[in-house]
Amino acid sequence: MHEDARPEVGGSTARGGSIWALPATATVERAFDDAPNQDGMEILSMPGEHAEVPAAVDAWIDAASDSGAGPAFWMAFQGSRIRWSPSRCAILAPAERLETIRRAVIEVSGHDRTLRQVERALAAAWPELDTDAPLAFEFEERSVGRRDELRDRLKRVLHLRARLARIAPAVLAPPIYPPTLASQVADRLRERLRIVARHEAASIQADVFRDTYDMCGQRASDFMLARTGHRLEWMIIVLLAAQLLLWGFEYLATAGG
Amino acid sequence: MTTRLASIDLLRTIAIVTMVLVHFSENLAGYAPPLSGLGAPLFVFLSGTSYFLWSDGLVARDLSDDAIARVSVRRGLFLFGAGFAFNLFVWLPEDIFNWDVLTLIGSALVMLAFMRRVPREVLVLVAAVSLLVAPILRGMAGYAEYWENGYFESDLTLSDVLVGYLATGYFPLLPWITLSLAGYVTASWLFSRRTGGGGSGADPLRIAAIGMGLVAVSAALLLARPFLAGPVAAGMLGGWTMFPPTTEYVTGMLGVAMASLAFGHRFVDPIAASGRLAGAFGVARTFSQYSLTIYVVHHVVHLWPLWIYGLRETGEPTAHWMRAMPAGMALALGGGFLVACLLVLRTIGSRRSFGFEALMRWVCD
Repeated sequence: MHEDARPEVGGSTARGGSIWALPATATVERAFDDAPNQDGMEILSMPGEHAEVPAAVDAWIDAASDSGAGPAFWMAFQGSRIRWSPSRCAILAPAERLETIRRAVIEVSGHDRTLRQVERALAAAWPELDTDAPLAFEFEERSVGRRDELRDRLKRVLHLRARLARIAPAVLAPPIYPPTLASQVADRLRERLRIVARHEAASIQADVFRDTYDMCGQRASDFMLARTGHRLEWMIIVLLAAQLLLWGFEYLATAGG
Repeated sequence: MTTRLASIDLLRTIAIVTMVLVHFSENLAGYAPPLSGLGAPLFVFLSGTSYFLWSDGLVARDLSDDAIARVSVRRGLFLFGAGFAFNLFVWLPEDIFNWDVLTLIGSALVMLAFMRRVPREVLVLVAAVSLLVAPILRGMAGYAEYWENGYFESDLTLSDVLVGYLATGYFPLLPWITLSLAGYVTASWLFSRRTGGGGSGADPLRIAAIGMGLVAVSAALLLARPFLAGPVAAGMLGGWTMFPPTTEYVTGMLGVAMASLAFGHRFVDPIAASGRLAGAFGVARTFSQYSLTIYVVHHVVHLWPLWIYGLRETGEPTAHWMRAMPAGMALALGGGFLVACLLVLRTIGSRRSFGFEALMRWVCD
């Protein structure tokens, strides 16, 4: 995680072109720097009691929402305010609670990010699945050249399934009792982002992919094993045929004088 | 948009042009030009190549294996029968069982129809066994006894007919089937169509290297033959001859054919696809599309007048065979025939609705 004191102090919204400026107390940091493109996140932390959210913070969030990153929403807890969008999050809270809330937000946002990546990958893979599904039933000679392709897809699906499995303990964990501020923030955020339902749906989808490619792999493996045996049988047949040809030809040559 | 491969058209044109010139020269003047022995192996090799492309196209059109096999067998039997008719009417009835290239290609098509789904490695083994067994069969049959006068003669007995078909005729099944099978396997390496993928196959240069390797093996066998033991040198090898088709000859010509096809696919097909040299490729396409027709017609054109003239002058149709005219004149006639063929085919043949190819499609497909 990379922290930068106010790396972006102003800008314009996509809608109106109005200029906004972040308050001097705001700090912006980047989370998930390893994420490609839209999966990165900027977190704005602003200590203090805030009866109202500064317009500049709204504008800062909206600027990202307008650019297509996804809708934003507000949450309020015990004098703290959180405005969350997929690519930007503003946390306005008393200084002593700021870090706790920030950690909870980052954790749930990380799960959301993982889910979004998995959902995108699965959505893109459906057409491939339609093409590959027949190979789960029957593998034949002309499919041999596709084994590498199928292996890569199985590997990719297993990787996606593993990612879902890795976040499962956190996503599916029951609420902590007695609740803490961090657990409340995390639970509320998970609820708003439908993390549990999405995780379950993605898991079901990934299972379909995994089952299909698992069967493809099994069929391919069975075919290759049988193919090796068939080749050996054919070679024996050819050599026996050659032997028979020689015997028969000897008879013909003798008969012909 | 045409899906023809210019490399195959070009090679088949080389094969048919070579065969026409060699046949005119040999039959009219008794002279074997330096290119003798190039055309037929290339023609047979390309029959296997074309069969792969044709059957692969039918697979892509979702035709069942059973249907493909039936059409293939019909085509093979058509060519086999056409070979007998050709022998009967062109080489006259006494040579009906001389086993010409048409009967060979017909047999090869029937064989490939049944072996199409056999693993390629097995086809390679069959080709190799055919090549290695052929000299043994020739030795068992006494090949020289069938070729005492420089051409194939046999009694009309079942055993002699079968021996001629398998080992001693002009184009016996063994070892010539090697070339057809190799053409099929080479095409399956070069032009394999993978489900869901493009038409990518093996690297042509790798295939060309294998072809060059076979040429090198052939050259090594030719060089080593004087130093080898008698049974090997005289039995398994035999020098560079087409009649009989020795191991060195078939290996060398197989290498030439494989390398030519691979180099052609690598370097000629892209040129043709870019639209350059369209005229030259158009000529090659014409010769290639009508190669079977040209093969039959060129025999009729130069042999029937020879038989009729011999019959009228001496009462013996073959009286002037191989001594009718000087080699230069025979070659010129062969060239003239090719030019006339091209003009006629380009003028009336663009629809591909006549000729032996069209007849075969009409009967078999």
